[in-house]
Amino acid sequence: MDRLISTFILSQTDSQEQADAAINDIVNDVGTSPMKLLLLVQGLGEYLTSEEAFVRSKATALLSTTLATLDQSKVNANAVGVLVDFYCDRLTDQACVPELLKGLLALSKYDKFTGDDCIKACKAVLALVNVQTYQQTARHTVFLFFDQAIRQYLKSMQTLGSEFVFGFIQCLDGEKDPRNLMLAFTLIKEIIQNFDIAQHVEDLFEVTFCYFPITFRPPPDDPYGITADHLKVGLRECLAATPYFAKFALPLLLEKLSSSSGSAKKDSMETIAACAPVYGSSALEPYSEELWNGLRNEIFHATNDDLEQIALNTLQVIATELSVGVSMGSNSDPIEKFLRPILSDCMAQLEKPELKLAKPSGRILKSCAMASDPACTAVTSATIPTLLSQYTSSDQSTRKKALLDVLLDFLDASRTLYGTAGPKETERDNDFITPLLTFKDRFFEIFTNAVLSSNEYNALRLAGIKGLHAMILLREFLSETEISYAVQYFVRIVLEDPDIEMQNEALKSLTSLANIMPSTVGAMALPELFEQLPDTPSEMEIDTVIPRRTPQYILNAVTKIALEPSLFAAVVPQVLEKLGKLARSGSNGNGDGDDGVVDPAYPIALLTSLLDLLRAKAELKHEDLPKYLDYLVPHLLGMCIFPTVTERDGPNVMKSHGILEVVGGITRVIMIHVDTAVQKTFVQAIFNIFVMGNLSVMANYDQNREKVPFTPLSATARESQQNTATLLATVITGCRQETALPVDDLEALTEALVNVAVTTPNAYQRQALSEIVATIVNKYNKGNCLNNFLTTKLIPRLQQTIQDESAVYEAREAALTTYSWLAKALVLSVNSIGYEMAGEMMKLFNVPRMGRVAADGFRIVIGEQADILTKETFAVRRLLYKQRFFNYCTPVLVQGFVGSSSSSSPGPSSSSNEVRHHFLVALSHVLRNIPKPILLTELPPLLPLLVHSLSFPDPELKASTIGTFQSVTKEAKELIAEHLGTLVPLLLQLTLPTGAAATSTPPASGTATPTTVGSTPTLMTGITATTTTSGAGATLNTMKVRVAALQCLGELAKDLPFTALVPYKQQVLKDLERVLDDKKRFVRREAVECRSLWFALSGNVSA
Amino acid sequence: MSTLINANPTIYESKASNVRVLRSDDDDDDAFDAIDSQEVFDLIRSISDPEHPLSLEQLNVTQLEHIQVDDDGNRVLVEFTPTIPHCSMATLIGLCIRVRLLRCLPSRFKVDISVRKGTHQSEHAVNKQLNDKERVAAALENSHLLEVVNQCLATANNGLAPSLASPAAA
Repeated sequence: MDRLISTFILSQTDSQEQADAAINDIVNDVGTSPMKLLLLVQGLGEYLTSEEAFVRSKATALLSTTLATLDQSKVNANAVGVLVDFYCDRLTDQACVPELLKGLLALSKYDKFTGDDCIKACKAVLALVNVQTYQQTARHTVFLFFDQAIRQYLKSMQTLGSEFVFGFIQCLDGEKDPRNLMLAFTLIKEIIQNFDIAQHVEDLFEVTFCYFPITFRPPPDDPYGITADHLKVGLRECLAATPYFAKFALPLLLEKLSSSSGSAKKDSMETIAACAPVYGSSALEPYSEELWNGLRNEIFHATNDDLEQIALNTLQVIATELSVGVSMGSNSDPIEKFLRPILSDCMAQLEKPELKLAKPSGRILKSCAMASDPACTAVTSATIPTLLSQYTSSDQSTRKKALLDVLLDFLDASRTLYGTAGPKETERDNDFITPLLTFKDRFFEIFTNAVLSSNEYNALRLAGIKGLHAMILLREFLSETEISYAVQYFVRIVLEDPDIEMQNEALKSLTSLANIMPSTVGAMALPELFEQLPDTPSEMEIDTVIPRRTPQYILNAVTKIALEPSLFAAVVPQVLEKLGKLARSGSNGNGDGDDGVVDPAYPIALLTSLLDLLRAKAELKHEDLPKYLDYLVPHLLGMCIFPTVTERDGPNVMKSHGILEVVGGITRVIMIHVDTAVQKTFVQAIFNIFVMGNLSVMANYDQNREKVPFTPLSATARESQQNTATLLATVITGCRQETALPVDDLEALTEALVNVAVTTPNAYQRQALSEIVATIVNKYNKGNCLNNFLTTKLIPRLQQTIQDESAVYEAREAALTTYSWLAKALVLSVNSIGYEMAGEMMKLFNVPRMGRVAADGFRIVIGEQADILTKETFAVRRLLYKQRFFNYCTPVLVQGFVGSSSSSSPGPSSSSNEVRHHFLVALSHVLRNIPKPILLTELPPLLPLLVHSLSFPDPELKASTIGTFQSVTKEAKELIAEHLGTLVPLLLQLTLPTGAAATSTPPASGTATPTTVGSTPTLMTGITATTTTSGAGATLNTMKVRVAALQCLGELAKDLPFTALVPYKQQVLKDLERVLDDKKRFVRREAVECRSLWFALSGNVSA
Repeated sequence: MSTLINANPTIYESKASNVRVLRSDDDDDDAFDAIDSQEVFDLIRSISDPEHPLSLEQLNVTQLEHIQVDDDGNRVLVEFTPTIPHCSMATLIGLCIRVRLLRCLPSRFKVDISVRKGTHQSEHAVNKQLNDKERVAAALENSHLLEVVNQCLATANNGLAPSLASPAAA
């Protein structure tokens, strides 16, 4: 033991490890027996009494650290008492105080530490330690100790009473460290709540308020994470902890309110708002006029909306508080006194309601009216009659509109205070009713007149709609008759008003009301809307005399209104009825005619409205979705399937791809929102139809019409039947992983499907079958049970066709597409077979005609396809699969690119250019789909390739690459800045339709011309070569490319430092001038935006 | 604050009917979109007033109806309405419109900017200044003035959310 002690004491400051090891050994040793602690103290004796302050401090540190690390059960109660005494006595030794405090803190956490010990220790610390003379860590320990004491030994501490309060004030006085302040602020709150502070209120206030307003700014690499906001909130909670602070705080807070610093003002207002409820009305009342004066400035001359909103909130809190105040003597109520100047100021402004300050006046009145029932009553009775008579006497519509805006503020205030109409209103007290009720008839009349006025000033009519809507929302306000009148107006506007804004506003009101009162809205709006929808295609064309809404417009309205379950249930049969009529009218009534096909646009719109509604309902987690799987979906499937089995297979609108897509979408959105059991039953039924061809199980089945068997999964069936395979695909791709498919031999099914996919001439069917196969391989390959089947049968089968040079090109392409889908399914589940398949695809890049298909196949493999193998459709998607794929493919792609350019020795021939193009296309698909952080780390070696991509003629490739540059500019500033010399001229070329005419030359400034691609000389020569070849031809930069290039140039101006950009500024501005005259408006807009950004570049650092 | 020329101006709502409606051939690479008065209005409507954090459109200083564009004849005429007839900011506002159009319209256009007839007490003088190339250039040499102009233009946008899907998202 003695040896360990001396090792520690004698260890130099630089051999921290040695010291730590010694302490560890000592703690272990002391832990073995209670007696050892005594030995330690004895052993330390000579050092603790040493002449050297350094040695004493070190010895104390050893003891304190031991106590802090030691298992406390090894120390008995007696020892704790003795140690506390020892530590308290020694606090006179200034050199050791920091270490002693640590020891006391450690002891205070012991179970055997008593309340008496606590009092003793506290007294000693308060008496002997002049806290503010010590460094931050020591002060921190003091506050931690007090914190522990108040938390654990509150009862004992309270006996110290104001002695402790006073002592604490002394300790805090002068504290500046944010870490200590955070702790101190918590302590102040505790002290205010638990101690008698009566004698020291002013001292405590002063030592607290001196930090207001907080101006702290954390250091750049702040390791403690304390922000100015933390401190502000901490301080605010202290100030709002007791009403005793009121008389000191309010004058000072008012003074800070007039400060010129925005943040001090904000802090003052927020603090006043936090304090007002605590300080109470009697404290606030004397200051009510000054409070209004201070806040008025903030609202009328607000520098930003945020500050204005805070001022309004503060005003409201004060008004709320003053409302509960009792009047003193002969004076009027506090709230009335407070409101009087406010009302007169605001009403003065409202005499000219169309001017700028009227709006804030309205908002002020709104905040006051929201504060309480008495405030609302006072404000209402003082202002509304005047406002109403102003309205009547005015014939200026801008003025009328501005007055309506103020009335709208009142309606909003009332709704906040007195509640919204709707099913939950019973909870409210029925006597608690808005004072606006007195004026209800006038309001209704005014807003109705505004809606119906034939004024050309739209804003007035819009305000009318908003007013009626707000009145309907008020609890216990309008009668049912009045509500139905208002709703009727909205419906008429939606159906008849020529103005778009009016239509939208009325529709918005109906949408919001549909949720609160579905039966009213449903009964009045839906029949009217459906009345407007044509039943036959011919009906759509005639009738130009009476202007009619387009079906698209009506359906959009229906989609907005009919979300609520009962309304949706009413809409579905009506849509199906319209659809049925249309399907019949296009096929001569018997489903077998050929007198021209109905334009599918309208039926598609009908179904899309259902799809949109279902999607929105799914988003809102409505629970009525599953029931439509038994009713809506089978009905639609029947409508799509039955026309394909009639004798003549005539044209029918239900056979169009567009219809099949939407029906598929409806099926999918319901399918993915039902549970496994329901899915299983449904899949069983679907297999019965599509695999067995058994149509008799379907609703509305008519045996006489089934003239041809239904075989949608055959390569030789009718095209119309084959197309319906997409409906089967939506069901299977929407299956949960737990939903087993109802087949005995999954491998046989899969193999059969692949065979059809490869041999069918119908690409639409092939797509559906590939999706089914991919889903099976992705979701049902549990425990790799299909791996063997895949490697021995399925993949060789596909590869054989792909490689077969004697086969027709279409067959090989078909096989490759299916192959890509299969690869995708496996890559998602991180199955190594998937990577091998991707490798095989890369080998195809130099095979004529197949190369491009293989390169585009990467879009399938790694890109996201809507609804297929997504998270929402329960695909197996392993963590980081994109990253793994990236790591696997990128080196091969880069190598392949470099290899294919160097192999052609006499210079890049057109065929090697094509191969390199394929590598770049595949790379762009990969880059577009990897998470940004990975892209950023892997970017540098890829940059030359990306630059190269910009000089290929392929517009898709260019747009995609520009997009990549744009997305990384912000995060890879330095890297992009290094390449500006190449990038800027290239991008400028791409902003012109022909690209060839760019005048860009590298900037004159020699120092800024970057030469960084030196490590890959072959690439650079390659770039020059292709640029010249493509420049000579007609390189057409599509609108998409031009827009992307402009956005990317704009991004550069936004993100890169001025010094990097300045050499290019004049060139960019000059070249962009020509783009201002682009023939496409979209491009011109982007050019204006981009050019403004470059104009705005300046070396000045301005906020 | 009390030194503002017009401390409490009338505010106008921006009209929704003033927004360009997308047409089907906007996305057609080969279709030709002519520069029209709406396009010029979109360029200047969101310029800030030098006195208030409000746009020229909100103060009714610029109106769609007061802009004439002849794309084939390469001419643009913009008339603006000062908020009050003695507004000393009229020239500055005109200068902001001038600079914005200098930067955003192809140089083939001859742009005339003038105060709307009868809306300013010294409209002739203002018009003369605004359409004198050399005086405009001289004004922009003044770095303080340029800074004020740039500040008013900082809020100027062409009222667009990106209407084409950006390639990164496609």
